[in-house]
Amino acid sequence: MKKWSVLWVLAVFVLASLASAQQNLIKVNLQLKWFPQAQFAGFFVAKERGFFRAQGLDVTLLPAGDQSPIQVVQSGAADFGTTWIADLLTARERGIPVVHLAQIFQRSGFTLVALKSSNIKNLCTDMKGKSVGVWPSGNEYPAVALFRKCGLTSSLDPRATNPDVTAVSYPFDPSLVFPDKVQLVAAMTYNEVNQIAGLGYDETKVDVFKLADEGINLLEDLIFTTERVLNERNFKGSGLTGRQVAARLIRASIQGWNWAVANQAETVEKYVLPVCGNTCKGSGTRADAKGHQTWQMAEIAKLYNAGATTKGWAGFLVPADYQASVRLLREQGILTKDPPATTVDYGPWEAATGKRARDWK
Amino acid sequence: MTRISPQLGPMLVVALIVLALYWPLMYLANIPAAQRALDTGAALPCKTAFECATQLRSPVLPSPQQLWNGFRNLMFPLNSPNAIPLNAAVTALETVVGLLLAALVGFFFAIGIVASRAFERSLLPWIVASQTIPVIAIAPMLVVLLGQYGVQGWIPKAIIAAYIAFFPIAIGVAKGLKSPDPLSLDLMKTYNANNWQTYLMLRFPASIPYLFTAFKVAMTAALIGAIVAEISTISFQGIGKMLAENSRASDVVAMWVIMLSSAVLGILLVALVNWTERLVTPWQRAKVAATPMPKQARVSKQEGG
Amino acid sequence: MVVQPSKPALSRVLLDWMLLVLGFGLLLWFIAIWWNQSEPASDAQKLLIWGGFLLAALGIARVANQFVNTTNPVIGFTPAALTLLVVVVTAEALLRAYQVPPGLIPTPSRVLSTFFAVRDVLLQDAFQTVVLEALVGYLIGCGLGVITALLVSRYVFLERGLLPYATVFSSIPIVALAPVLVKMVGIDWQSKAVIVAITVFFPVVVNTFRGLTEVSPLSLDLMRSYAASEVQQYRWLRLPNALPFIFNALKLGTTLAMIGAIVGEFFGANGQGLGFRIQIEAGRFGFDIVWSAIIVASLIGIAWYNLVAWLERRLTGWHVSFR
Repeated sequence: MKKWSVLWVLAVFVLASLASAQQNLIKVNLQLKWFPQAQFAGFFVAKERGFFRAQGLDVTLLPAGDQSPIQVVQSGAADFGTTWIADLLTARERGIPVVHLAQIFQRSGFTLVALKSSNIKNLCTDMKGKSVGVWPSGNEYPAVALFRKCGLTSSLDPRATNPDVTAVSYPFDPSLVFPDKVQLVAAMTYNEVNQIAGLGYDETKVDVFKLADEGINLLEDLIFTTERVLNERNFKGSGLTGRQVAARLIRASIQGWNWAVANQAETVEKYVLPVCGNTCKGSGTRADAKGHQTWQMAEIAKLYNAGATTKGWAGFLVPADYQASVRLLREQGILTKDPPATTVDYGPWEAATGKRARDWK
Repeated sequence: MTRISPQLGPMLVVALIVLALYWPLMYLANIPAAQRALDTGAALPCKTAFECATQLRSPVLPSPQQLWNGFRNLMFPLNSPNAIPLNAAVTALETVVGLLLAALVGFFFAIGIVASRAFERSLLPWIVASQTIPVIAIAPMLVVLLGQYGVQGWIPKAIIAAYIAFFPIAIGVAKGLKSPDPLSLDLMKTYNANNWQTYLMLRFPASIPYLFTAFKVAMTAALIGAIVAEISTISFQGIGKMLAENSRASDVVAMWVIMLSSAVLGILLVALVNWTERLVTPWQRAKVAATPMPKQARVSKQEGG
Repeated sequence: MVVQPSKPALSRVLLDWMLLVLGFGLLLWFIAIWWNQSEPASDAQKLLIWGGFLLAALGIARVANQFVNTTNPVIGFTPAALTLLVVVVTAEALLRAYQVPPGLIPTPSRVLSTFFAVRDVLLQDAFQTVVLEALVGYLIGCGLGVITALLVSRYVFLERGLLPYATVFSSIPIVALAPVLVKMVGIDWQSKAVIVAITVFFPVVVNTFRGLTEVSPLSLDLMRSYAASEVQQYRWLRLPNALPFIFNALKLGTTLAMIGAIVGEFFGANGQGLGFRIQIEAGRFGFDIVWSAIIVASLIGIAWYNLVAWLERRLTGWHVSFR
């Protein structure tokens, strides 16, 4: 008798979950900027803890390799994406109608790492004639901005025949180029810095130059979409507009991020490690995926818990930061004109948080 | 044909020699890397460079044990999105569809070339030139462009595969369509056959052997096209995606396993063409068997790529 | 005009050219009036462009008949040149009419002006990609290929033991080797040269071997009856016989070499090279530069192919296919 009742409960449960699955969840594809790792912890949490589902969304998180997230979203293979601001603004200038929706990271984590023994003490004066390892696919802009700011030409510049700096493109594995081929290598505070340490070059042997300290504070991970998705009257037949879907996505994402940053150990254990493959591992002595991701989560939390987030305005793109990024890119000639006002749309974020952008102080 | 091929013995000997040479080569290549790793204090479950040579995370040459483990990791479960079988199937699908598409386009161009000198004069130079354009450069543009019209997923890759596969087919079929000897063509004329009849009854049948020779070359080309397209464009499935991903993750052993699997895939796909050829043109086999091969003029049975 | 077997009436010839000129005129006229516009054109104007394209294409199809029998290669190229021109002009007109953003497809005029602006850097890139990577790899691969084929044709054991592998290996997608080799040899040009060498090696072996062995038994018997040595046999019979086969492989190899070098650069490059440039610029939507790099790569590819074809004519002019 008891066995039967258990079966009944199970059957009811299955039917109920089936029904809820049928409950017209809206299918949304979100393109991440890289392979699964703690950098996207908030999104994994939002998905696995049901924050997206609570908003009526069935979100698929797409990993990225070489492809630019903007190309994926522009081609329609994803509806929303995460990328960096320099990438977004240059695409906009090239006529791709991408729109900034929410700013996840409030601070830049881009650094250049050099061996102490290479005697690079001041980037601008000591970089000339050196080789710098960078990543392609729109991830090289912070380095380009730095070169330009220092008045140096680089091999990334198609108009420089005799560049001051040789930029070497390498596929995201510092050991391939550093320290044999390049004196400086691009490294994110939350990933490659630890990988380089794992290769035997820890804090005592290398100098880590944060680009934010050099005056290159270009904002990183943000949520964007295209005007086409945003102006959709009936998003994938859901009856919701593109803006409403965007607002729901932002609300759930911020919820996920707040949870992830508050529960870091659990996030890494339950939501990051199960979804990540090889790319989650560190290098050398720090190859262990759990150790590397725990460390990454802590570093990511620093980028998230800064600026507007600390005032309870998570996801908010501070107008002054935005203008500083635009001004910097214009000064360095990476942008030739101011992006149109429609490049940033606070509407969905305002709908998601109930705050108003103009109340920001 | 139950007779043991005379090639089998020598092939085995060569394979054994290569295998026997592999171990010393592997140690030779890996020991310096292992020494470096030990010097930097990497966490390795071994003490000496010799021991570590077979256990490096990114070996120069992976040890057979590592390859075997990598193979086991990447093969199963068969339907996992991160395992080789499913991804290989996707790539194979793109390749085969690309080949069929290429056959369609190739036939069209071949008929154009044979039927109209004006067509040949205006387009042939650009058909040839199209092959010098590195497909990897136009693939990203093509994919974004097709995406605008809702064409996504594996179809753009099949189109890119077709782009590099149509050329050998067009040239091969054109050769085949021209191959009937003038005598037969004259005969058709005396029978008052019109152009279409000449094509249907004489030229098309004559082009079939050429078609299959071209298919073998085109199949490899299409596979390269599909893999290149997966590497350089938006892709969530396929051998090329696995290659790009593991190259980014710097998983050398996985890269080797995928490389070897794609080799097997290429061989299987060409074998598929061979098999289809035998199925479609049984008379060809009979002819080959009936013609005694002169000892001095040894003919390799396959057309080289 | 040109030599023609049956001269069509002058009036028809004129009519054909009129069609062509009219079509081009329509397209160019639209481009001129839309040069500084930033709105999409009206449907009628778009229709006009397609009309212009059809007229010009029809014109070319008819005009081309006048060039069919010419032997002068430059004049004979006219229809092909016209085809390219009409495609380029139509693309320009359509891209302007639909206002396609340059981050998606740049207009041909934009590509040309960018090409002019960045030509120096592209030439440096081309040197790295073509001379260091593709050419060095090509020469090594072809050289080793011919030597291997010579050995294989000489020793039956090798033929039986190695040739089946070569045939099988030529159906392997060599691109899959690229990441492994870049990781193994490093990100400098040498790794790409190795990729190219492996890519061209197998077709050369298979083709050369066929050329060396598919000699007429009659000629071979003749050589033997003159007591010609093995070396003499190769020098006077087998090698000359193999040349057309070798050249087929060499011509095929030119394209393979370019693709191999460019793909190799996608897995790491030292700051130069056409593949590096294409990868960097495609990632930042600089498709005008990507297309410029494509133009450079194709021009070099075509020149290289024709150079090998020219060598072939010089060295095998005696062969049936040229008589």
